Amino acid sequence: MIKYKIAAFLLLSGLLSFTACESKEQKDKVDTSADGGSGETKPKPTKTVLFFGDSLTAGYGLDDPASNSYPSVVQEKIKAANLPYKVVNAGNSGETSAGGLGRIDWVLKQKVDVFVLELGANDGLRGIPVSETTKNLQAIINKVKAKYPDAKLVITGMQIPPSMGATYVNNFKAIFPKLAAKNNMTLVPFLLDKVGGIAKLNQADGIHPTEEGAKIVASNVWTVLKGVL
Amino acid sequence: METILDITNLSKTYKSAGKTLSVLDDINFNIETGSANAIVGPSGSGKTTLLGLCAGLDRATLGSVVLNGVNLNNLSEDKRAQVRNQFVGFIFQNFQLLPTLTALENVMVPLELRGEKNIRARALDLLDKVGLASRGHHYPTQLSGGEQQRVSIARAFSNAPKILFADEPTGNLDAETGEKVQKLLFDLNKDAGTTLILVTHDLELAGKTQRILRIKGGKLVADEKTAIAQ
Amino acid sequence: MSTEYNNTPNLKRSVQWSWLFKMAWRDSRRNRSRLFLFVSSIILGIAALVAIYSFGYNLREDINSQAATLVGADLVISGNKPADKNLQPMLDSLGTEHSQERNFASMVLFNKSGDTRLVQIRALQGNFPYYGNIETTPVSASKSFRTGQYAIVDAALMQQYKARLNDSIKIGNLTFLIAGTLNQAPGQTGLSAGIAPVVYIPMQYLEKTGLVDKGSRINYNFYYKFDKSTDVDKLAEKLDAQLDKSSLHYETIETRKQNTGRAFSDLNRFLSLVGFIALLLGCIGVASATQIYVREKVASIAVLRCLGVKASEAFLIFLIQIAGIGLIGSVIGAALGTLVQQLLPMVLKDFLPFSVTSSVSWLALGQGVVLGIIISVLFAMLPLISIRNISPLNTLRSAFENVSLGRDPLRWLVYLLILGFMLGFSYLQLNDWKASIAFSVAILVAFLILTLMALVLMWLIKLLMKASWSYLVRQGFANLYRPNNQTVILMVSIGLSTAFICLLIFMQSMLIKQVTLSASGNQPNMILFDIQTAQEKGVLDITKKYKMPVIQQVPIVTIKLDQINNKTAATLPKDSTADNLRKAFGYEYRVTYRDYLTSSEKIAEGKWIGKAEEGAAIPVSVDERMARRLDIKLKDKLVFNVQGTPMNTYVASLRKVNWNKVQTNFQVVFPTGVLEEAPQFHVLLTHVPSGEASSKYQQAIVKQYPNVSIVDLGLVLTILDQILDKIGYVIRFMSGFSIATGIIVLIASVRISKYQRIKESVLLRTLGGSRKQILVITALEYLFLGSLSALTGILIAVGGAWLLAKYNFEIPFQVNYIPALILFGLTAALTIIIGLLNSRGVLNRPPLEVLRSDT
Repeated sequence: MIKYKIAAFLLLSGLLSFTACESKEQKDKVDTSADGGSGETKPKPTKTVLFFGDSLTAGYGLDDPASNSYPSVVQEKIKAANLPYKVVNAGNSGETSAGGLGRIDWVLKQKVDVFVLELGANDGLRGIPVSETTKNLQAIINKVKAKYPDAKLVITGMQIPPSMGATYVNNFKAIFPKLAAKNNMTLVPFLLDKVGGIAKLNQADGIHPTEEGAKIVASNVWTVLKGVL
Repeated sequence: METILDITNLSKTYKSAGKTLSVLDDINFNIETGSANAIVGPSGSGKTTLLGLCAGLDRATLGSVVLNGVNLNNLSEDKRAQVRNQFVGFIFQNFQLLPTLTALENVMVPLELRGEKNIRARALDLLDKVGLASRGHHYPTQLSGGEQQRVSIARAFSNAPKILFADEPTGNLDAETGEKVQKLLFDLNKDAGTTLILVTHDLELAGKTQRILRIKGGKLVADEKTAIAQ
Repeated sequence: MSTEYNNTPNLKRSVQWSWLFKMAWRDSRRNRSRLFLFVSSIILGIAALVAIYSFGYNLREDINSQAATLVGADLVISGNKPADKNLQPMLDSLGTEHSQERNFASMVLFNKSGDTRLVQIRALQGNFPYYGNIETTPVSASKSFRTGQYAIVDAALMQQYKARLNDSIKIGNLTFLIAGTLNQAPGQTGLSAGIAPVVYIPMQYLEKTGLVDKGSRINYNFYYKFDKSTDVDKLAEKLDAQLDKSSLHYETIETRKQNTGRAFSDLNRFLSLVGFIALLLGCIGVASATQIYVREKVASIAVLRCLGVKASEAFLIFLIQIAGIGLIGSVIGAALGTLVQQLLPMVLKDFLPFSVTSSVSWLALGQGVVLGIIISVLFAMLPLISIRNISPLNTLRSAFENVSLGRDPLRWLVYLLILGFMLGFSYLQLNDWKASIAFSVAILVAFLILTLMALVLMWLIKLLMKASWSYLVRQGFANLYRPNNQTVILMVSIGLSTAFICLLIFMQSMLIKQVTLSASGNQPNMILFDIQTAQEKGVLDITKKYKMPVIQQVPIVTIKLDQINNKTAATLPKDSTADNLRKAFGYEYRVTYRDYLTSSEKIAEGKWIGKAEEGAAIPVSVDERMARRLDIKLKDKLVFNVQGTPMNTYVASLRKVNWNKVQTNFQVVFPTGVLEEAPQFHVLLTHVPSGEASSKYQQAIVKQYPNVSIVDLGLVLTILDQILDKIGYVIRFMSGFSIATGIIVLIASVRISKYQRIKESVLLRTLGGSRKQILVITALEYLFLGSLSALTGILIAVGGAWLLAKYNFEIPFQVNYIPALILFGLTAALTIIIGLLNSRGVLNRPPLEVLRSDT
């Protein structure tokens, strides 16, 4: 009987963790002691690239998200290109667009020069109406624009498995180019390009990229981002 | 005359709280086969202990008890039990019938132990002799004291003992009943030619035997023939 | 006299067994009422045991035969990727018959209402299930839907979207006709269906829906049926390595069975415990009853010895008697137990996912009878071997009446046998040598504690006794240490019985507490996640409007741990010793903030501080288990990172958290006044009264706040409730049964002293003692004995319950002392009452009559 109860609890906690988030943070900036990996040898970076997203940004399931998540890989690329940018990872596992909207104010307390918006996948997997997701993402963009009118904006395109149904899948996919066009944002056409749906680049859950996958994701982003910086 | 019981240098001491208590001290006597004898003495004189030793219920500290040619000192308790079963009969002051057995079964036990035949008829016969043929199916609690002692006498004779020990056989009975029981005891004894040893402080009862052994302070102080013997 | 004179002593008489049996029989006739106590201990002990065993056997057998319907097939292979091409031939070749299923989440459109909804599609091909049924309304739909473009839709979903049979739903590019309502699918216990409702479609249309494409997230299931002769488990094990390589896993009826069985293991364990305790109570009963019995038999045995019965024969007579009575008691007990067991399945039948047969378990019956005889003989043995030491001199002197075991070396053998029996039996129950040894040692310790207590008590009373005390008090207490006293045996038997009964009461209430879930209306059965701060008020309003209670409403903030006492991820050694900490730094913590503790948590160490002071370090409370894992101590400094803002905190308290409750629990709790402004979402727990209310409420919420996820645990919790309710009932029932055994044993124990006290009481009466005086003396003696034994017993039970809770059941130790207090009073009272009843016979009749009738 206890087993059943535990099962019930696990279900609950599983759901909790589904909605809960991983806030891989701007360690580099705030932290008094440890610059978790990315920024430590940089000669005084002056500008900030903020990745605002869900588990994909947070690096969920990776052994060491602080150095393996795609924003961290991007940071390496920035470093290699010797650009004066410092990456802040504001990923939050399981977050929906509505959650992002609730969180954005707090995150925007810090100065942002480049804002990368990566949200919506969880909305899609949960079948949240496309209109709702669009509305939330737009609201987030509005907030960024209001606070940092000079910030450059990037949005990453997302797709959901075809098994969700073509209508929904297509409507969902269209959210991102539309938002990019409307808000004059730079679009990463599909964040998980060459990764999504390829078993060996994804973890056992079939959703989250592996370390290898994250590198490809980082390239997808870098291709677009380097033009922005 | 043949001797059935030969007591030589018999002593019994108890150790209690580090002290040695001498209960019997160097007793010597022998008993003729078929005789009736009484051991008398005041309370605490050691007469019950003597009876216990003679009957093989206990082991002597020193000296020997030879019963019907068998030296009891050399026997284990189980062997002595068999000697008792084969040669010895008992009658107790408080009857000591087995409360869970009927009168008849009480009488049958010694015979059964010997694995004899025709037991029931013989036990009934004995009960008849003590006048209780009709009460065979009664349990001891359903019998009066006198009746219980009569059953007990029947049981004592059932294995045709060579020697019969009686410990105050009338001590728990009123005078009249005691009288009847005494008569029964002596009559049966005479019929069967059994040797009888009575332990009592009733001098009148002792007087009905042929020989009186007096014990006092653990010593045999007198050994006298009674009028009956002469 | 007619007997032939036999002059040569024959000292080699052999034992006549038939006579021994005859004597045993004869002797028993007049003792039936006394033997009744003995028999009743055995009867109840064995009855409890047989009932429990039979139930266990039947349950196991039923799980065996019906696990098949839970799985639906002999072998299921599943994975979340299409099978490798080189594996496909093997997958196709297995079994005599096979079916396939693909399942995945998808949005379906209810054409009539125009609503879309996330569901779990199960596309089925073949005749699955091979055992049991897909239960549908109408019944025929479970077969007929496979023949065309039909779907079977989850019943709750149908209700929520007001869909009817023959309505259509659009799945992917295709439209399906709803052919039936899905009530239950094989292996579906409700839990798995909780998140997304199920829709079955025939697999031949799956391709055309267009839902299976690159990137689709599909689970693949292969169901196989085998010949009866095939050892499926062996086969599956052989395939395992190959399957594993392709990330496939398998389930057989056997593996499912084990999992299902494990769900009931706590119940089984408790039942074993109950059985064991009932049996041990029986043992104490047997030992005490035999003790009484042998004491009464001393005189008779002495007479028999005088008449020439050997010591061994006397011993055998009573051994035969006891064994015979043990046999009778065991048979009656086994019959009674079987009767009880017939009742159990009736109570249980509708909560198990399968029915329990209530056939007579001959194995359990046999075991019960054998155990009963062993116990009667073994536990009667100690008093019985003392028979061998009864001297025939007892016929001449009653002073020898005190039969003691003295230094009989055989006693040690008996102790050894008893110990061996306990070990062996507990091994049979627990299947674990370590546990059995622990168990036996625990009982031994309890025994020794009680014996020691008794000895200390006697010594103390002797020491403290003052001539100035009133005569009655002195006489009452003196009874406890005078020669021939019963203090030790009474203390041990009353104490152990009390300890066992109390232990059962404790364990029962602890388990019941675990079992109480959502039975009452204010337990949550619906959870709303991801409510944004701005949406909080609106959600509350809707909840209020639907007249539903807000049971819990919790803000959740996601934070990370940056430092523990100045250690950071960067300063950790690279080797594996720091893996735990590294994970701790990589992990995200979902924390809440509040100024109170919930009912499921308790402060284990430190002080709970509910409000943070401005500018000072923030006092947080950490879950004990997390603290242990990360080696965090009170006062340790933790730096948390709240979405970019560092929070300097220190560990103000460690909490013990009961994670087994359906409610939100947290590893770290912040005080109020810190995180209010941090990004957060809210979780709301409520209770919906019915499925209908649930769908209306869900619709209202989702319409306004589509991001809010709702999990309706109603169905799951209802099933759980039913299961737990019934298990609770069984637990109560079985412990009640054992407690009844305990009370009988208690009575038997106190009755031991009856025959001892009668003579004394008669003497006192004869000497002119008044009825009242004798009553007071007796009452004092038993009051003292009863209360001290009960107290010791209860203390032992507390210790035992703690050990059991911690090591055997692994549940939090919580003891309710009120029942223990009641038990204490009851035991003391019962001891006095039975003690006084023992004397009543003496008091109401003239002394002489008592003496005469009570041989």
